Amino acid sequence: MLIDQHLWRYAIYRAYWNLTAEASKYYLGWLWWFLEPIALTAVFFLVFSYFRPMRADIENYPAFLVVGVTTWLWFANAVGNSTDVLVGARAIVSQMRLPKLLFPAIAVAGASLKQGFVFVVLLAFLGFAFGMSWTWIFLPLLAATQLVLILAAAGTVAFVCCCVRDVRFVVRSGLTLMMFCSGLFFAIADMPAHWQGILRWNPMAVMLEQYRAALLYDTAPDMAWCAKVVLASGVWLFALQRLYEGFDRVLTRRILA
Amino acid sequence: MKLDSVSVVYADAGFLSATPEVVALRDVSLRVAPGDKLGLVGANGAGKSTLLRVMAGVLQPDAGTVDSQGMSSALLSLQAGFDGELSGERNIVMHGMLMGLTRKEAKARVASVAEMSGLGEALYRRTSTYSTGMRARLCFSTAINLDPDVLLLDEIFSVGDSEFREKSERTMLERFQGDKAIVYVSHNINMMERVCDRAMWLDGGEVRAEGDVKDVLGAYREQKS
Repeated sequence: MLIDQHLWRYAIYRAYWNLTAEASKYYLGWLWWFLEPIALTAVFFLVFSYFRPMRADIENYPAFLVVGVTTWLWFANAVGNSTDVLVGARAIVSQMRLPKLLFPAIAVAGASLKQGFVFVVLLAFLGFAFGMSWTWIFLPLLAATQLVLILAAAGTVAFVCCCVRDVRFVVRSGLTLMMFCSGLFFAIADMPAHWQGILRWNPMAVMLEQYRAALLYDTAPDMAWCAKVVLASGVWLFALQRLYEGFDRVLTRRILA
Repeated sequence: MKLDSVSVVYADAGFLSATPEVVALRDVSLRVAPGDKLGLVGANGAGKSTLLRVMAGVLQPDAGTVDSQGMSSALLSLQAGFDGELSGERNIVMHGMLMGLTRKEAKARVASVAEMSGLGEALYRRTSTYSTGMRARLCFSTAINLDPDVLLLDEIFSVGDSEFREKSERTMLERFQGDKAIVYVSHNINMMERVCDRAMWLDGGEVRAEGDVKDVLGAYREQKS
């Protein structure tokens, strides 16, 4: 167990409270959970359909985009929010000793709760527009795979950004680069063969292909790939937990500094 | 609780703007037995808050050892871990859950915290809208309801009205009888004299004097005048 059970319970409630507090700050409240992916999809659609019609030959391009954008935003928001999550926990860290991995876990839990609602709306849209497919049953498996991947990435980013705060600027650029390399608005399979191999080193690029296969193309995802991602992320998470424990003193000083 | 030769050094990282190390505590040893009422005095920057953080287990010392001897502790300061975006009620539940309570158990404590704090309807507002006095009320009422073996109080009574201070002092003395211990940091040495039986005077991170509260505070007053 990475974090005690009672702290997991706390992380989930805390994530929910953070979401309601965040929603209460905006006139459109929680509607932004859905408007943000819709707006980004619309931007990509306009740019790549009208200004670069070469991408428009992808079948059901809006659906292709929306599946990519919604799953990408889950990753990008969770990892992006983790950059400052430890330093932002100064008030609570100065009062009690807590495992520091809890704080990126809260950021991931918040983004994941939001994503749960987004998936419901996404499936409703796809079902209404294109009909349902039996391969949708793989969605929980894909979501679980992505969740473990996000936890590992967010935990790493939080740790590194706490130790060396300068890295937060690199993470933002890195996420932008990763977005352009994840096949959000183009199909990796349409790229030259040697580029495909390089791009698929990015797990989010393959993740997006798996989602599209299951949700749009009636194709079962690559189970072996999912198993590899879960295993590698799981092993890294356990190593990360040791790293957090070993560096707890350093992290506390950095947070309180 | 037992602290032996504890030292804490703060060092800032930076390749381009290296700042010198600050020794917050140097070779501090301390015992807190069940039922102790210990006051910590000293000028700003003397290391009082750092010492409380070490006792709470928040900070691990750079040298020396800390043994809680199985005693649970709750640290209470005006910068307490309350989230300004959440209501007072949710902050109370949050603290309870962090201390290992279920959400239901933590919610069950809200009523008694509400009564003790006297915050009324304000308890359901964001804590970012609270005055420092209201935060102190929420802080104190939350921590005292967690019922720790050692209550670590950091300048909590420097704000708030006299009614709150008197009520808190009364509650503290009532609840922290018998085996419960208090470590109390304050510049209000009159209140410290009433609440504590022992005191420690910290100066530049080192122990300048320790012993009976009247003797230590007397020496401290003399040095200040």
